[in-house]
This record gives sequence, structure tokens and C-alpha cells, in this order.
Amino acid sequence: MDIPSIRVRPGGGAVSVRVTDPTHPQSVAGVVWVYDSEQNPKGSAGQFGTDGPEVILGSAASIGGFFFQAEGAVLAQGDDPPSPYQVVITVLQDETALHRETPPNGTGTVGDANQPFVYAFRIVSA
Amino acid sequence: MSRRRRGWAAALALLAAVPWGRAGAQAQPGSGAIESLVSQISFGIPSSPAFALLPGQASEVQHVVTPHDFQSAISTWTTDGKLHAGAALDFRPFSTAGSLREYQQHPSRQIAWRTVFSAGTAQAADGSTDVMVAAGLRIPVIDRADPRADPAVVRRLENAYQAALLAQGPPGLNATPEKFVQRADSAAKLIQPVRDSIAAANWNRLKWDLGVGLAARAHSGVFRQDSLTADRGGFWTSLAVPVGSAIQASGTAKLTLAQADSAGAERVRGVVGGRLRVFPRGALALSAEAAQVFARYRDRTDQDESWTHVGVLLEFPSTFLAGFIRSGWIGVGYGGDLSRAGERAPQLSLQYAFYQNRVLKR
Repeated sequence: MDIPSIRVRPGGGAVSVRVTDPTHPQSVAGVVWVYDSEQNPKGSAGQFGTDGPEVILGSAASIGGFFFQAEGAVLAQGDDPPSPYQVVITVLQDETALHRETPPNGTGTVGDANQPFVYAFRIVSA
Repeated sequence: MSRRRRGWAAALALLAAVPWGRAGAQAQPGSGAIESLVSQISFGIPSSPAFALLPGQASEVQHVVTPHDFQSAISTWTTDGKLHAGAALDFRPFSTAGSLREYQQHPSRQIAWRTVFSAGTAQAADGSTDVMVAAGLRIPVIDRADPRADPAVVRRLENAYQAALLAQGPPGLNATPEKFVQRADSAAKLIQPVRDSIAAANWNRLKWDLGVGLAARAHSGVFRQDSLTADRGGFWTSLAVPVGSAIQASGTAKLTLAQADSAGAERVRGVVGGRLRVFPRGALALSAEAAQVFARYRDRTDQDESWTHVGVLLEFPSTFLAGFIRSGWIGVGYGGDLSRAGERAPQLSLQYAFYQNRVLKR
């Protein structure tokens, strides 16, 4: 799997990731996992959902070289016909978007079954 | 035998023994007759009003997402100006309703998002070259059971899903897609009790639906203004109101107007009815309904008819009866049609049956 690297300013502020569907009324929820530079899991960085779509990853200095993985789903609401969704993952520093992407499986329709997605990225402090 | 079970057994025996006048008491091998008693009249609106106006329904309905997809789909319905029979699609015309937060704050966005457009074609009749084409809208005006409109419901589900992922621990960074599917399936199973609990709490929330549809006949299948004639139109509305947490009261009205081109052809059909559904506690359920149905025919007023349909069904687990070992459901129903034209006496019957899958559900 090709993991994108996202460059952050070493002297900049906190880095965060926002996971939402900004154009459709969909419930998007999940967990952001942290991995060190050797790709060893270090636990959860936080959870995202409608009430809190943004997860703080840490300062640029402390997470340089770390990997992150957003694992979540568009939660089914029993829509008939199935309704459209498009998940957008945005990596921010000081509330400024550095990278915005729709993950694989992040777009489609949702009916009776949750639609899971996963998106991994690496933070490079440079 | 407990006092309650003795009571149920006695009640059943009494029902079977009562001479119901012209009505017969019949034991049925399955739930079919029982089910038809409470399903002849639909107390909702058609999920796709367009299809309700067509003589046959397409085997597959295309769920269209974007306006571009809609245009592409429609463009495949004709070849050299002639309509194909058997096409069907549905589409949310207002699918970009903003974020979930915006949706929750604006009832107008909720109505727009829930609105579904449907369209379809069907052969007018066996052997005919005419093609019927229909379009319709389903508009759920009020839906207090809409889970995404309630921030508390959304929060409960999302918290449960997050907890289900956390409980599985972090996945490998290079885990296979199959592994992620497995984790997602596991999370979905873990949150199912939350979904069930939400569904049980919201089963009888206030709902008001509207449906409208129009159908035209394309002569020889030609899809051109001068080859199209209006054929029929339909209007449906249904209202469901909670009465406490155990009762739902529903009302429905439906009207279909048809372009009757020959004497004796049906030109109007209408239904007005009401229903009560009661789920007092445990697995006991009761449904009682009454509806007035009428039909009018062109140039044959002597054929015009109007009748009342009534149906009552009591359903309970077979284990309510002492000595009944097989697990399943017992339904006791009474009803039929009153004062239908050409029939001197009400066609009422008492039915009771044992079956595996329950008929009355919240």
C-alpha cells in the first residue's frame, strides 16, 4: 500500500485530521490510530464523529515520521433507496488544510449496511 | 398450568367453538390467510409511487445518485425514439443537503433529502406494443423516527461504533482489505443491540408521508408528445401517530384516477382507512383496522361499488399456551369485506393459525 506523506512545518502549531462528509447528511464515525516511524502501533490518537470530526495528532515536532490511520465507517440509517456519501479526510496544521483527500471506499451509497473506509498517511516534519 | 395460560387456552377454544353466523372458523396451515387479513390495505404509501401505477414492475430498480447519472440512465430508455419496457429508477433529487449538522438544524433540508423521485416503464398489456411510462414522488414530510435527524441517536450509534473499534485494538498499518472488512463486520455486530434499542424506542414515532404519481401511455412505444396520452394518476397519504409507547394509530387515504377508454373500465378507485396496532408488553400484539374502498366505472354506474374492509388480528407466541411444545406464533384473526356489491352477506371469517415467522412487527 502506498502511504502518502504529508509535510508539516516543524515550527508550526498542532497537527490534526478531520474526517467528515461535508456535502451529505451522513453519520461518519471511527478511530484514528497512531504508529511510530517503524510502523509499530502506539494506540489511538482519538475518535471522530459528528460531534467531534477533528482529532488532534500532536505538535509537528512530536509526530514527525509517525504514521496515522483513520479507520471508520459511514453508519447505515436504513435508507431506501440507498443514499450517497463522500468522506473527505483533511489534514490541518494551525487550522489550515494541508492535504485533503477522499479515501478508497470513501464514496458510494449507503443503505442498510455500514460502509467502512480506511486511510493511512505519514506526517513528515520538514 | 398458570391462570394466565389457562385463560388463553380457554379463549382460543371458545373462539373456535363460537358459531359466527355466516362467518366460518378455519384453521390455516400457515400465516397466509392471517397475513392477508391485515395486509390487504396498505397503511403506508408506495415506496416508489411511479411503480404502483404501472401494470408490471421491473425486475431491477436502478438507484441513481447524481443528476449526471440520472440523465445517463434516462437516455438509455429509448432507442430511435421508442421506449423500452421494463426500465425503472429511483433518485434523490436533493441529495446534497449539506452536512449532518446542517441537516439536523433545518427541517426543510430533511424533507428535501428524504424525497425520492421514481420513474419506470412497462408494457401496457400482453401482446400490446404500447408502453406505459410513469413518474412519481414520495415525500416523507414528517418522520420523527428519522435516526439521522436526532443528534442523541446519532451520538449513541457513533459512540458505540468507536467503542467497537477500540475494543479490537489497532489494526496493522498494512493490514489486508479483508482484515478491515472483518473488523468492520465485527463492529457492526457489536453495535446491533444499540440499533435494536433505538428501533424499539422509535417504532411508533409521528410520521406523515405523501406520494403522487402520473402515468402516460406511449402509443406503439413512441416517446413523443403527440404519441403520449395521460393514462392514470395517483395520490397517497398516510399519517401514523403514537399513543403512548405501546400503540400506533394510523390513517391512510389513496385515490387513483384512470383514463377509462371503454364502458365498464375502472376510472376511480379510492381507499380511506384507519388502523390501531398495539404491542402492550412481551410478544403479544394486536392489530385492528377498518377501511372504506370504492370504485367507479365508466358508463356503468350499476357496477360502481363501495365496501368496508375490517380486520382484527391477535398474535402471541405459542409458548403462551400450556402444552404447546413447538415454538412459533399463533394468530387469531377475524375480518373480511362487508357489504360488497353482488354479495348479500358480509364475507367475514374467523381464522387461526400456527406459524414460524410473526406477522405483526413493530
